[in-house]
Amino acid sequence: MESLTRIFAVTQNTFRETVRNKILHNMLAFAVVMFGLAWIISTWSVGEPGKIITDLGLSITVLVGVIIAIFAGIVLVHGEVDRRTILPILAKPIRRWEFVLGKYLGFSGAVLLVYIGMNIILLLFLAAIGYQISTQLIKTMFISIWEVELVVALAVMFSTLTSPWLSAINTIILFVAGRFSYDIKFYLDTNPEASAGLVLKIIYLLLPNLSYFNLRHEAVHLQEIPSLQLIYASLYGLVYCAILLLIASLAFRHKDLA
Amino acid sequence: MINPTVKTGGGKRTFSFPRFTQTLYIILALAICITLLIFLRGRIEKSHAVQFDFGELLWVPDARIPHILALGDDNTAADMLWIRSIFYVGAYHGLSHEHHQHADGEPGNHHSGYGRHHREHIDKHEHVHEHDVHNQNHEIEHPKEHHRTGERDTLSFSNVDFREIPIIRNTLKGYLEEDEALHMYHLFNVITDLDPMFATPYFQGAMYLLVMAGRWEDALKLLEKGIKNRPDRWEMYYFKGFVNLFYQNDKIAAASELKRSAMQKDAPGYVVRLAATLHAGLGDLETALEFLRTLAEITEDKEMKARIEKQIEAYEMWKADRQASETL
Amino acid sequence: MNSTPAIRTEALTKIYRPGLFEKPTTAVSNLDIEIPEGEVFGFIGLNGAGKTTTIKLLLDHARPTNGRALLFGEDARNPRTRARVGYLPDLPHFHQFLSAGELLDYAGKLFGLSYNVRRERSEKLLKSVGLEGHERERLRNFSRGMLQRLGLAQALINEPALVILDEPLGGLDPIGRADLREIISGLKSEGRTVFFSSHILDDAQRIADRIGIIHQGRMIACGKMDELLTKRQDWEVELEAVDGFDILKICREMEWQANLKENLFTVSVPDEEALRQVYTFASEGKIRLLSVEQRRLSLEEAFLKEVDQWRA
Repeated sequence: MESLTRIFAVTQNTFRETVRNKILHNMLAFAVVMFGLAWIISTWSVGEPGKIITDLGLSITVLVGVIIAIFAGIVLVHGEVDRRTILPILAKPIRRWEFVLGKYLGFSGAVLLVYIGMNIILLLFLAAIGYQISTQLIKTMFISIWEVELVVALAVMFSTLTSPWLSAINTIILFVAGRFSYDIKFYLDTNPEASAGLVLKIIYLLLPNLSYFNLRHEAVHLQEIPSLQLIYASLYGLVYCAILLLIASLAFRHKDLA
Repeated sequence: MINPTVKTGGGKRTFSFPRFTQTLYIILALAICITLLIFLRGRIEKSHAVQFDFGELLWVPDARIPHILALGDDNTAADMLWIRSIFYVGAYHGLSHEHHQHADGEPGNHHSGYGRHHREHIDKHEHVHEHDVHNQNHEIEHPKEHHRTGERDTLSFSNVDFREIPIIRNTLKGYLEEDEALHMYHLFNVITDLDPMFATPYFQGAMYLLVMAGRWEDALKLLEKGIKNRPDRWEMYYFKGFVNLFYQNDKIAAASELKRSAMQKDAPGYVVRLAATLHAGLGDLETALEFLRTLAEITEDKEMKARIEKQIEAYEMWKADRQASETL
Repeated sequence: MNSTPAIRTEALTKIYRPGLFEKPTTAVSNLDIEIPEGEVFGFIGLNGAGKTTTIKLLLDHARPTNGRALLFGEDARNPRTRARVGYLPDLPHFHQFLSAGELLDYAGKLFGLSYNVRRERSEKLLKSVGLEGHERERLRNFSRGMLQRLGLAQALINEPALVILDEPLGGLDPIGRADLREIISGLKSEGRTVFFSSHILDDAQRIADRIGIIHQGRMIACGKMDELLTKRQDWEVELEAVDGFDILKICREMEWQANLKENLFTVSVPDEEALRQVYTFASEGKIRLLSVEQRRLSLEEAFLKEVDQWRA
């Protein structure tokens, strides 16, 4: 119970920190501008402007979410250590893992808020131009949250381990790799005799598969999305985030503060 | 050291003008700077025009490259390539207008009322002298057999070979060079590899290939791919029927495609009507004209629309000419 | 008074290993401290002597390589021990986006204090550190001194039994120092233990009951103010040389400090043994003694002396 109070205190403070972060404000404005641009681009198309604006809109919300997650997330823990704001905090009866979890929750909460905000703006935008809003679209927006959350967890983990630059590079690499991890599987499936196949298989298992959270194709073409898929993908995201946070806590447990 | 700072502080206050004026000056300075910038840009671009070869930029080896560039957001990649390819066609509209004017056989621009105007002439059975049409008429290999359908005052050639209608063959190609057309076909394939459910590139792409280059085999392949991936879209069958009729002269196939098209849930009324007439007439020339009219109605691309309308006019004139010679 | 000391370290050692190919550095070596409850302890050392590292080991900001630190008899690695500890870091930095009130509230929450207690204490503390009226101000607008005061306030939000202050006097103007001294003596009178580090000896001398001197990670002297100062006392002897007795030569030989001023020598005699020697000279008629005065060292001199001796 006391542990929860402390975690919540850190969460609240981090939420406040993130909401007052200029990166967030900039990216939100950027997203709105991009929606406008997506609308303009969709009018250039011959046919299916609704598809194009939805494709672009969904890509933008996720991408903006990911950018915020990376660039605000990489300094989340490291910044506290570096600017030594962490010293008075950790001199209180708080455990290291409580601190990491609180930071993650506060930050991901703020990112989530922005992400939901962007999606609401997108939905209003789509409604305004007369696009039919389907349940698939809502489901897709929901499941994409996990992609953003996973990148948040990646950034937070790296930020407890290393410097912001390295964190940014690592997070971006893993994000990109995560988007293509299905390609590794396809490669393995089509080339069963591939050299270093075992290594690739292990890499495939370890990498986050962000394609699980990409139902944008289904949403735009109104394909059926089974609820079970949503549940499994959400659980996958949750468990992966938990693993990353555990690694972060573990690494942070005995870290000497400068 | 303290005194001077106090002095400057006081000095600032005495020399400062009201905030409003300050803002005004800043805005004014900004305006000047922006004007200067625009002027400079004009200057620079005048002497330093950079020409982009859009054709080169558009070349995408296969779907893997845009897949990677879009970080796996294949739908978005498909959208972007689609828009780029539209630009590509659009760019060629602009660049090649002059060049193709003669090939079209029609000088200048067309306004939408033009076709209707001519139709009225035809209705009045007036002899239309249009040199281009006449010139082309000489090349026309006249169908050997023809008969009249009772209800309609139109020509009907049940066994007319639509491939031999030269106007269609001639006006529906020449915008794109051979390799460019090949390029376009490849690009539409990449787009539809990236997003197989994206319907427009199949039929609109097929239309570009037909109207811009006359490459009906490629168009047909694209449409067949479309039918495989989006069997629910009436446009696929409609355009396939178009190719069947005008490029393969397979009236039965065309009629059956149109029927399938009319059976899809979003098929517009005129498609249903067209399917019906095609089924009944199997080669009625008026039906062919009707086909073209629906085509003009479907397309959202204004350039394409203009081209098709132009074609309808030419076709109508050709028909009127034939009609006239027949009554004689 | 409680028998368990507020702070106790046993052979506390910290060796930093910065990288694979870099030389490890010993920050703290075999440190033994015992500070009973209610004491004000000054931890004196030059910059880089290991003061801050010791404090980090006490707060579990870093883990000892060897030995252990105990707070109120419990291992410092246990986060529970910090419930009774207040800590002011060296050159404190706080989240710039917070206001003073928000920071104190955050600190209070981490101690699990209720809303009312947090409000009441933060109001009281802001007043006591002289930051009334700055409650809603963002910390990015705070000066160094204000941050230092606020840092003290956040360290005291849990009414700690042990207050650990790292260089509390740094960054403060003379008025701030006087205020701080007052606050610390107030804490002492409330029966709290204060552990502070400083390189400013003068202030330490005024505040601390007991001081420890740390140099290159080792405790080289520790004791009550009086003990430490009288342990190394010397005498100042004023004398005249008689019949051309070469007192300067003697001074050089004995390594006494000597000054000559109009025939009058002022000699610093380091210990009683040496003083006996001086008396012998006087009884032999070689010198005439004018005055002998026992001189207490200032803490600074004591410190430098300790360091010098340790070096030798």
